[in-house]
Amino acid sequence: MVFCAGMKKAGWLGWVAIVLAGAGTAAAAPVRARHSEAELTAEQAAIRAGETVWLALAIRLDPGWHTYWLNPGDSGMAPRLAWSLPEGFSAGALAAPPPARFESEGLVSLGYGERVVFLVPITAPAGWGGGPATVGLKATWLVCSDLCLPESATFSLELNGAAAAAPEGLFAEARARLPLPPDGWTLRALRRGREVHVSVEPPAGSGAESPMVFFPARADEFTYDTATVPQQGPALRLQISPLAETFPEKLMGVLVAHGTALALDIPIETPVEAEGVVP
Amino acid sequence: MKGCARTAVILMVVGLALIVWAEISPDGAAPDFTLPGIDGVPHSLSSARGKYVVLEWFNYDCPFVRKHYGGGNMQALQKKYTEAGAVWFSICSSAPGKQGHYPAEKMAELAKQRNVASTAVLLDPDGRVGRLYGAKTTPHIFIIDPEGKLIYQGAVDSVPSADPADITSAVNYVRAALDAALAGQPVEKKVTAPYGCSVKY
Repeated sequence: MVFCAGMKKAGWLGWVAIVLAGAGTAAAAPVRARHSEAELTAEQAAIRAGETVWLALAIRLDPGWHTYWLNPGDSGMAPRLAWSLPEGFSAGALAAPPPARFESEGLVSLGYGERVVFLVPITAPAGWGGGPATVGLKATWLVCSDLCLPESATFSLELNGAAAAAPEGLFAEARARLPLPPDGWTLRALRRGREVHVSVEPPAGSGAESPMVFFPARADEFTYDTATVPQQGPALRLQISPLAETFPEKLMGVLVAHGTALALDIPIETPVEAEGVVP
Repeated sequence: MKGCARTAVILMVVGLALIVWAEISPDGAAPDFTLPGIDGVPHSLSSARGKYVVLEWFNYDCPFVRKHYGGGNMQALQKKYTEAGAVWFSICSSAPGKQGHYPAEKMAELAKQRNVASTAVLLDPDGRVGRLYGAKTTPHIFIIDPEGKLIYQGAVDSVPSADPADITSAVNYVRAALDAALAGQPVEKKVTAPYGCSVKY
């Protein structure tokens, strides 16, 4: 209802914005694949030497299909991006919202149903002379329901052309979903036998306590029965996967706690009494 | 009768308990199994003791399996290492009604079309052996040494895509593990993250 009211209020101005975005070159037209649709949009239509422009890759899934997070889980595939950029330009890492957990026959997948928006920064070199800049991208993503199919789309996006700005709200909403650095949080990861215990203390004024869940950045470090499953706080217990060849030194991944998604990259401390314990 | 019913229940429970989901630690013992082959003959791991054994989970309808079969990458590996004395079992754990499941005769036809060069193509429709090994994806590879110890488990290669064009630029983990093992060297990467379709249990 709120959305409907908002649309009504936006009225004809909203429609003009949509038409402009379609006509401009800073948004490549949506590409329909077999069970999903993808769209590439630039946050700003212009880029100058040394500047960074963020792009949004939005993937909409058909009902019943899902695609994958950066660590896809037991099976699946992370999205793959092949760029074709003007000389000296660079593309950064794909920023992804926290995934959902899909379980089937004991196998855990991490990814997204319905819709996901990934963000990625494109940077122009410092000494760049300017002018039109064509950003080419071939994106490949896997969609699965009972079956799995790789989908792909090729985009060409012209910056510094006669382009409209990105649709309002797209980047703000996508950014609001991304994991934040855990500034102000007190987090400790302690090794306990074949487990890692994570204590979590939010900064003052954080949202109410809710079950916490950790999504590991890498495969085969933690069991998906402990990682990826919500646990009641204030501490999280993660079990080392039998497939882990060595005890992980760092806790890397996304922690969702108190309604906030945090990007974790913290050392796993070995308590003195546990030293020398062979994992 | 009462005792008989109880025994039946116990047997059922034991039967269920045998369908276990397992993950085997690096250097862990590879559990024995016997599965019917598309050749109509049962094949067991223990009969291959003394040789290197490759277990390859497949589903011919999975795009990641097609990636490795379409251009003959998987068949070349099968041929090379069976000629080097290894035993190669290709295993399908797709359940009846799910993607990739075919009756033995049809599977034999599909394997022939693909010039599959494994020692045997085995059928695991109840997923018992797949779960015993923790086979998650197709493809998913397990390599066992002549003493029955697991020396590798994971992906075919280092580029997790369904695009055959990526095969040449990828590091082939199966080749790396078998070449090292056959030369008497330790296997460098014993576990990698497998990629592909989920096994259709």
